[in-house]
Order: sequence, then C-alpha cells, then structure tokens
Amino acid sequence: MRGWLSPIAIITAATAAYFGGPFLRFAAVYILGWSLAVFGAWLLLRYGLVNFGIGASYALGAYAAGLMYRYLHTADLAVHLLAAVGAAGAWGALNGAVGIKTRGIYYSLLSLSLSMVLYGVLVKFYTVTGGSDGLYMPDPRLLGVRIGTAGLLALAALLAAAWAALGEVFGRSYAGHVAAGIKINELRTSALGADVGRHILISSVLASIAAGLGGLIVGYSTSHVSPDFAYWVTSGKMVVGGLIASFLPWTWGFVASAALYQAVELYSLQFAYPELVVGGLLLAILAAWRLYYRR
Amino acid sequence: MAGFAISFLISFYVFFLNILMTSLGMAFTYGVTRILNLAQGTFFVLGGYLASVFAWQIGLAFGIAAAAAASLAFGPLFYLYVKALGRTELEQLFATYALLLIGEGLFKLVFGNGDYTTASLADGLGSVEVLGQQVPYSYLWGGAVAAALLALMYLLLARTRAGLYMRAVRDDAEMASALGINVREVGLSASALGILITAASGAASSMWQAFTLGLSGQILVYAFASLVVGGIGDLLGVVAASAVISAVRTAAVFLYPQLELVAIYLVVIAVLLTRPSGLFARHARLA
Amino acid sequence: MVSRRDALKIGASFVVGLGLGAGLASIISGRPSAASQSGTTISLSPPTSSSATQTGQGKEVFKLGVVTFQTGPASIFGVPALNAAQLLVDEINKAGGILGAQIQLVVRDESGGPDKMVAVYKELVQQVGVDAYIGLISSADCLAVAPVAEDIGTTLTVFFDCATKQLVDQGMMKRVAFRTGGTTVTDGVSLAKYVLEVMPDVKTVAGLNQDYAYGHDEWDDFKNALLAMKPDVQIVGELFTPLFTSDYSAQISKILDLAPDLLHTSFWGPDLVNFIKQASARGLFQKVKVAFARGEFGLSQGMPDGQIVEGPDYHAFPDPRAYYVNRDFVNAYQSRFGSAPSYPAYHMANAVLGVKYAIETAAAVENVAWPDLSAVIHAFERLAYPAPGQYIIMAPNHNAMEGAVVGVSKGGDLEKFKFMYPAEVNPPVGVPSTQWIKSL
Repeated sequence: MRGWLSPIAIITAATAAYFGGPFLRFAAVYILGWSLAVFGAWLLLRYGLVNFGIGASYALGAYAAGLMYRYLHTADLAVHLLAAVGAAGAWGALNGAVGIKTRGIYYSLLSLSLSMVLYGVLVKFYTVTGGSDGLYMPDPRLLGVRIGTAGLLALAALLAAAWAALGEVFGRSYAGHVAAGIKINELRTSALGADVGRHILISSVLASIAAGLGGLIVGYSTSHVSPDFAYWVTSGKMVVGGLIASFLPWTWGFVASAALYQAVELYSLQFAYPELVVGGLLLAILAAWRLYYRR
Repeated sequence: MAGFAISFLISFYVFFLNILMTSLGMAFTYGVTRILNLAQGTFFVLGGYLASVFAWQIGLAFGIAAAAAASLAFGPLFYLYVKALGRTELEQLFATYALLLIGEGLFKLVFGNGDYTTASLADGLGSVEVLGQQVPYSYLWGGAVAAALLALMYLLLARTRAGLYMRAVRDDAEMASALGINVREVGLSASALGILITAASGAASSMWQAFTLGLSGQILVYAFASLVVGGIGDLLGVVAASAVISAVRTAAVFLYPQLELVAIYLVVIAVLLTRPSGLFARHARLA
Repeated sequence: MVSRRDALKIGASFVVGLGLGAGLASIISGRPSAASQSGTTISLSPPTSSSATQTGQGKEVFKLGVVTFQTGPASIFGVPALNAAQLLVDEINKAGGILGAQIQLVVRDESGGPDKMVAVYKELVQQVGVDAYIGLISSADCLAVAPVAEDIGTTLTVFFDCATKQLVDQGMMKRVAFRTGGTTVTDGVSLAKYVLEVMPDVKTVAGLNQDYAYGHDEWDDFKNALLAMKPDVQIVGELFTPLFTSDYSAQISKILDLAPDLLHTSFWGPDLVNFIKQASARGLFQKVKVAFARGEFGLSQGMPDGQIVEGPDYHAFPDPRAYYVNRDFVNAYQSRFGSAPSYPAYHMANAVLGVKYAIETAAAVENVAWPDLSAVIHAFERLAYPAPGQYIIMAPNHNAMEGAVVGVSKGGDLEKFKFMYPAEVNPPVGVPSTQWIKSL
C-alpha cells in the first residue's frame, strides 16, 4: 500500500520545488527528466542487464523533438511526445532484439556499441543533425500555448509519477518476479515456463521509452540537445544512477537517486578536483549500503 | 602497390599493438576474477604517467620497467578494495566506477594537466627503413614487450600450478573453491598480474602516445571491445580480436575514412550478432 | 550479519570516501579566493576616478562567475585560462577593484556537456547571483548557453574562447551575450594568408582534423580562404579522425602517400602531441610542411622546426619590451605559474578586462556610481581596449575583431611571426562568413 504513495510524493516534491525560485524549478525539471533515464537503466538492472547504451534512447527522445522543430517547425508538445515515444520505442525494440542472445558484459558492450553508432551518425551528419554542436530545442506548446516553466515542471512530475506507478505495478507483477528470476538464474526461469526473450524485449522497449521521455524533458529544460546525450559516458552515469536506485528500498528511488547524483555532480563543479568529490560520494554510498542493507 | 601494402601493414601493426596493449591486462583480470573493471584504463594511464616521469631520470628501458614494478602493489590493493566493497557484480561495477573518478582526480593532483610521454626519448632509438617507409624502432620494441607479456602469461597459465588454479577459477570459481583452491588468493595474484600487465603496456605505449587527463575512460572502450570480441578466457582470442579490430579500422581509414568513428563498434555488433559470446567463446555455462 | 572485521573494513572505506570527498572539497574550495597576492608590479588598471560627481550607490563586491575546463583533456586550455583570471582579478582588486567593488571569483568546471553548462549558467545567474559571467571553451557549450543567456537576459555574459562562427553568423549574441575572441574564420584566414606569403607556389594541400564541428569548421575556413585567394590549389585529401585517437599511423601513411606540399591540422591536446610525435618518428615533417591552426601548444611539445603555426596569441607578441600591458602580464604570469601564458590565458584576459572596461566606461558616460546592465551593454558594443595580446575592438555584432599571430616554429619558439590585422581576418559586421571568405 505504501508504495502507492510514491507518485504522490514525487508530485508533492515538484510542487515544493515550484516555490523555490527559478533555479530550483529548472533543477527539478532537469532532475525529473534525468530520473526517467535512470528508471530505464534501473528497469534493465532488475534483469541483471547493464545497458551502457541507454543514452541512445535519451538522445533519440530529444532529437526527435529537435529535428521535428528544425524541419517541420512544430513545437507542439503532443507531436513531440509521440515522436519521442516512437523513436525511443523503436530503438528499444532494436536494442532488445539485437541483444536478446547476449548477456553480461556482452550485452553491455553490444548496447554501448549500438549507442555509439547512433552517436557517430549524430556527429557525422552535420547538415542534418547539427553535428557535435547539437540542436536548439524550442519551448513546447500545448494547443498553441507555450507551456512555460510551470507547465514543464508539471509535465516532468506527471511523467515521473506515472513511471513510478509503473515501477510499483512492475514490482508486484508476474513480470517483476520473472525479472528477479532471470537475474538469479535464467536457465531455471526459462525452464519454469517464462518466455525470457519476450520479457527482455518488452522491458527493453519500456526502458527505452522512459529514457527517451527523459531526454525530451531535459532537452526542453536546457533548450538544447547535443550528441553528448548518446555518448557512452552519459549512459554510464545513468547506470550508476540506476545502481543507486536499486540500493534504495522505495519505488521513487530512481528520482531520489537522480536528485542525489545530479546535485552532487553540480556541486562538485565548483572544486578544482570535481571527480574526487563525486567518486568519494559514490564510495560513501556503497559503504553505507554494504553496512546497512547487506543481504 | 607494394608501397600501399607496406603502408597498410605498418598502420595495421601499430594499431593492433595499441589495442592489444590496452586489452591484455583487462582480459587476464576479468577472466580469472570476473570483476568488470571500469578503472582498467586508469592503470594503463598510470603506467604511462609513471614511465614518462621515471624515463627522464633513469633512461627509457629502466623507466618502463620501473613504472611496471611500481604498479605491482596496486593489483592486490585493487582486488581487496573491490571485494571489500562489492559482493555482487553490480556492486563491483559501482566500486570500480568510483575508482575511475577518484583516479582521474588523483592524476590531476599528482601529475597536473600536462601531456606526459616518452616519445622524445624513444626517438633516440631511431628507425628502420622498409621499402621507403620509416618504421620507428619504438613500435618494434613495443611489439617485443607485448610478445614477452603474452609469453609470460601463456607459460604461467599453461605450465605452472598457480596457472592451473587460475584456469580452474576462470572456468568455474565455485567448483574450484569446492576442490580446495583458495579463490581469494588466486584472485589476488591474478589482479596483481593483470594490473602489472596493464601498467607495463601503458608504460611501453608512452613511447608513441601522450598521456593526459581524461584518457582513462577513452581507453576503456578499446579494451572492452577487444575483450568481448575475443571471448573471455582465451589469450588467443584477445590477440585475434585486436587483429580483427585493427584490420577493419585500418581498412576504414584507407578506403572509407567516414567510417572510422564507428568502425570498432560495427565490428563489435557484427561479431556479437553472429557469435553472442565472442569469437573464441569457451564452453560457457549459463547462469 | 555484519562481522566485526567487515564492519571495520566498511568503516574504513567510509572514512576514506568521506575524507576524499568532503575533506578535499573543503580544502580545495578555499583555493580560488585565498590565492595569495604575488608581489608583482602589473599596472593593468588605471586608478579609478573618484572625484567625479556620482549619483546612486556603488558596489562593494562584484561576483564574477568563471566557467572553464579544469578536468579532462581540455583542461590544458582551461587551467591557463583560470590562472589568468585569478591573476588579473588579484591585480584589479589590489588596484581598487572595479569602481571600488572588489571582484570575487566564482569558479565552475566546464565538464559534463552542454546541458550541464546550461545548468551551471542558471545556477550562477539565478542562485549565486553573479554580476557577470565569463566562460566556455567548447563550441557546443557556447551554442547551448547563448540562447539561455539571452532568454534570461539579466547578466552580462562573455564567452572567452569558444571558436564557433555560428554565434556570429546566426546572430545569437543579441543583448547580454558577447565574445571577446576570434572564430575559426579568424584562424583559417590568417593561416591561409600567411601560407601564401611563405609558400607562394603551394600546389597541393591536404587536411587532417578532428571529426567534430570545430575540426570541420577550422578546415573548411582554411580551405575556402586558400582556394579563394589561390584558386589553382588542389585539395588532395580531407582526413578526419575521432577525438582522442591514440594512434595516427594509418593517417600518417596516407599523407605520406598523398605527399601534399602542405598539410593543415587544427589538432589540440593529446591528439596534437600524439600526431607530432608519431609523425616525427615516421619522418613526415621532412616530406610535408604542416600548418597548425591554434598550434601554439605544440611548440612546447617537440614541434619540429620550420612548421607554420597560428597562435592565435603568442607571448612574444606584441613585443613585451615595447608594450607594457603584455610585459606586465607575461612577467606576472611567469613568476606566479612558472611558464609563459598560452593563448587561452590571453583570451581570458580579453574577457576579464572587457568586463572591467565596459563597466567603467558605462559609469563614466552615464556619470553614475554603478551603471545598469543596458548602459554596460551599450558601452561594450562600442568598446576598444588594451589587452595583453592585442588591442581588442568590439563590433556591434557583440563579437571582438581579433587579429591572430602566425609564424614559423624554431626550437620551441615562434619566429618570423606576423600579426594579421583584425579587419583583414574577420568578416565585416553583417556579412556571413562563408560569403565573405569567397570574396577574399
């Protein structure tokens, strides 16, 4: 029952952020957007799949809207959402289908390679995609009206809440148990009658859509999308976010983990040795996890 | 035509050496300990930094040897660090990622933001002329180092008791443990060796490559690719994978340079689509 | 159950983690502001006139946000730039600050990509409340931040280094955004002009550049300028390599095969060093002359003699014996950081001094104790001021008309260098760069 409080908690936090001034509003949108990508990484981690290419979906979500604005001059939110979901969903299906036979580090590197091919395409086709300079992202409009910061925050909060609800359903569902089974022993799970391939394919599509929506939100919040979104380091950070989320016992863990990671990363940039700050924090988290939640 | 062939061969060989150098140590460590080390590039870069510092004091060959020797202690430390912090594979991934970041910070603290290389010293080794093309001796010495490391690893694995244990742990750690092998000790020594090899490769690479901040992550991808394409657990696999990657990349540069950016990744995708466990997969057991 | 031994281990790791994170953080965070005042005699700031009758309230502290690379391969640019900022801020503060306001540096790292830079911009402007923002080396970062800066529109925003011509060609700097440096057009045209002076008979040219927007821009601008001025030049090869490639043997082989009269490259960082070392070892420099755009860093990394190098700034120009601003800058920089300032340091100096002079000029014109933003913008758009590397002339398109130094390498220094006059290497205001280059 308590799990269902998650979506409410997310929306409450977003509402609180709205009254925290312009920067906090921006930060809340950015974090909620990024948290969707973390959700994608986290969902696949439930199956034991470490996807170092989740950034590709994240990039596709944003590029779908950016390209649509550049070539069709449409800033309509509904169209952008559809395009982002479509592009990211198709990518998730591709990644899932291609990776269906690979596991462990083979899966990781296959997804990394796929995302880097997309990265290469985004960088190479300078005239179409803006190359490494990236693309401008417009303020989205709903029925011709700019949704503004408040609208964007509401959208981000609703999406995050919806995915948190999905995570809650997933955790209780048959699919969630299959995921745990696949992670522990795939052979046995499949012998018990679960169609492992189909489960992985569907979760891959869902994870990709989550990340794509996340990219769209982050792109809106910064008015810009660049191929960096698809670079494997970006994916690596999302996987780390997903790992932190998997250490946390709450359904809204992915938002908490995204907030923690992004806050620390932003905080670290004021130091001459930012990597030491982030690395030190990750160590502290891991140590705390090992101390308190050891299985 | 002969000119083209020799150009191609030189380029192929040099890039092959590059890839092999970055991936040998990782393949060894991963094979035995199953720790996917995101900080592997850190030790490669460490070797390069140390060699560049030492070589100016005590000469090129000794500098490289000293850099490798100095990094011997890091292997066991690394193993203990990972094992203390992470029991599951995912926790270990997390721990090595933190290490990658901390390593970058420490490099900046210790070495600053300059470029470190021994290339100027390696220039002193001279070069040999092959059909009108200058081939620097540094690449040949680098090849000798790689061959020596490979031979060392082969002898160790195939001819010694320690190697037998390592192979047993590589194939099935649980079974090895049940048979009375101290998996922890094997892991310690394998990490020590793997990181020694990585650092030695980095040190040797400093003869033609500059080391600077931010490279640890870049190098990782090459190592990762070679490891996966080769298939875990076979030295030959790593050598073959490096050769395949280098051949494709060199061909791309010569024939269709537009593809260079993605050449490695296309190789990985092609190989894993046809052989999901790499070219030289051993009898892998699911789960 | 956690055994005692495990708990100890975990506790130890925890302490290490916290120690590394918090401990270092607190030590390091004190660094920028606590930088010691070196006892040099730089005289970059004339005494402010306090006698004028002034209205309104002055300022006590001027918060200056500075964002540049301190980590990763591009820190080779960012660290000298930050050094210069700290140096100049200390000197300005010692001489009384900007209109009596002491400058307080708020430093951020440029790592994390364009979206992170937008976040940092918003943090500095909306959270920290900086009075002016100076930053960004990467072109993609500038292109992402410029629209956001204009949209918020509250803070003077100066890009000090990013070389993308898009900012000007697309008219992205409208109100609060300025750039106090040149573009890839400046680099390409200066280099092409110099090449034609020292190699009037150049016939075949090849390019080797990094495979991203900056590399393509540098090559296109150089190539088009050269072709416009000497149409019979033949382009025999255009090579692009991924960023941070460790091995260039295939490209070197290919260039040796092509055997062009001249090779153009805009490599930087580890790529520049790797290329110089590997090409020397393969004997490339004996067969092909190379023109390095922004190649100043290569001079200290074993650049062979006789290669054409564009700065765009160089510490020996303008001659420090003749030009006191450069003399004081080079001396102060050298005594504090142990090496001569490299071009990012000059670019940073352009930006810091531009902010200072724009504010002082606006105050003098408006006759107020502290000018408002629109007065500062009005002044900055028309400003010309002495900077260590050259006289900076701001144009109405909010971009500096910057010249560039080009010369020939000799023993780690630049000789026979020539300053390309700003108006000859920058398109006139309002003319798109591609169109202007064709008309050369």
